[in-house]
Amino acid sequence: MSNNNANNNLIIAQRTVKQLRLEASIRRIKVSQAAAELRNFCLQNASKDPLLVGVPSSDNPFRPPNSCSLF
Amino acid sequence: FPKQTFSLCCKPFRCRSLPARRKYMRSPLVPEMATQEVQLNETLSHLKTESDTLKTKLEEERAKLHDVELHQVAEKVDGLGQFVMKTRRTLKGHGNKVLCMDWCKDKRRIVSSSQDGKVIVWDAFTTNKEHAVTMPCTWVMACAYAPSGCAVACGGLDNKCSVYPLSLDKNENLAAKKKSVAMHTNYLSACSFTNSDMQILTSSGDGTCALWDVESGQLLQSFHGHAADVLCLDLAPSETGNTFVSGGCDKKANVWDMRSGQCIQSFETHESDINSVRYYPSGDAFASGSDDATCRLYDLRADREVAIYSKESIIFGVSSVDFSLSGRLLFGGYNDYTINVWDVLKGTRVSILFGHENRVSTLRVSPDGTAFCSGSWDHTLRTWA
Repeated sequence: MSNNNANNNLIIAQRTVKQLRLEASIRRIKVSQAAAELRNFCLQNASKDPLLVGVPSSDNPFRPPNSCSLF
Repeated sequence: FPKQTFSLCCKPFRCRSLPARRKYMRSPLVPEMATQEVQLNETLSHLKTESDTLKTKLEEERAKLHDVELHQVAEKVDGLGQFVMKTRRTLKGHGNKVLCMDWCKDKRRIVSSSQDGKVIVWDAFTTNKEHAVTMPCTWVMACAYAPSGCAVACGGLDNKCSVYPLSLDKNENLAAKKKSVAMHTNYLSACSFTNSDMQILTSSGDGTCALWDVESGQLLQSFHGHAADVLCLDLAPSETGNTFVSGGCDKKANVWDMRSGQCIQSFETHESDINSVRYYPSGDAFASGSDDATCRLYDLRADREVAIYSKESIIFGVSSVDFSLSGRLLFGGYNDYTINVWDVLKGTRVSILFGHENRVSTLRVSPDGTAFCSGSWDHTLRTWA
């Protein structure tokens, strides 16, 4: 019975080591490069971001238009 | 007052961790068994040493590339001005706490689910209710809209994820066409359709995530690796490939390969449960919100946390996060009833939104980025723009 527990622990430990080996081996880039790309993405898309730049009330279905139209 | 007491009361049946490895018991009866025990013990301790060495190496490798902070790279970027965001619509109709919501791709319909078992589909422009379903369980913690807009998925304490096709006929009983897709061994915490109506990804209190075929209900792939309840998940934007990120009560955020079931990256910097994860629009990073009152940004290519969004005055947990279309703004719904808006690049808070009368439990930006919707324990949903 105790062997089963030990075997379980072993399997878990083997899996943990295998997973850590995988994670340790991935290729990484420098934060400066990664951060620059995040910043550039923001800036390139800023003009198309309605919550950032705002859209005219008439275009935004959630903002009430300035005047009511009756039809 | 201690923050812990507030965070413990909101998650049903949450277990801090799955049964830990049972203590190794000694049974010295048979000599051969004793020798085997010793051998296993040695192997175990070797593995433990290797495991510790690898963890240290991982930290060192990550630290080597940490040459600058995100906000330093963003120093020359213009600051954001004052934001005027107000509640534009209030959706009333749920009889109890709103737990989850999702937008339809048509940018106008919303599905929401609540503690009282009701799932409601709304037209967010007119605030009309288009469909309502009563689930056989309470605490419907997860709901999602199908990409086609023709169905919704939901689940919670029933441990299942069910799909309801939406009928054009308002009088039709939706419950009759219900399809049970996912089966977990504990509560369903989150669900999401993949690119099509045909597959659903789920996360559960049983510590696993799983990918299911909607038509047959077959389990296509399961994802094991979290040591406790998984509370949230988000799929990578379709252009960036088949991965998703999950967050759990083990304080870890894991990135998974959907085809192989492998965990490819893991991040453990939060100090408490991770309630929400959301990919940055480019797919190269993701944000997380936690009971530790912080939101954090993790870059996938640098393989590390690159920003923390926090203030000393913010002491309540974050339940839900989402980005604006360009990724410049991060919206966080908090347990202190507010929504904080963060400048992702500079790390500063640009706005704080009041309106809800109880915890904000869920928050999503609309598909075209013109508005965002928040759901709360005050029984209402609000759209803001």
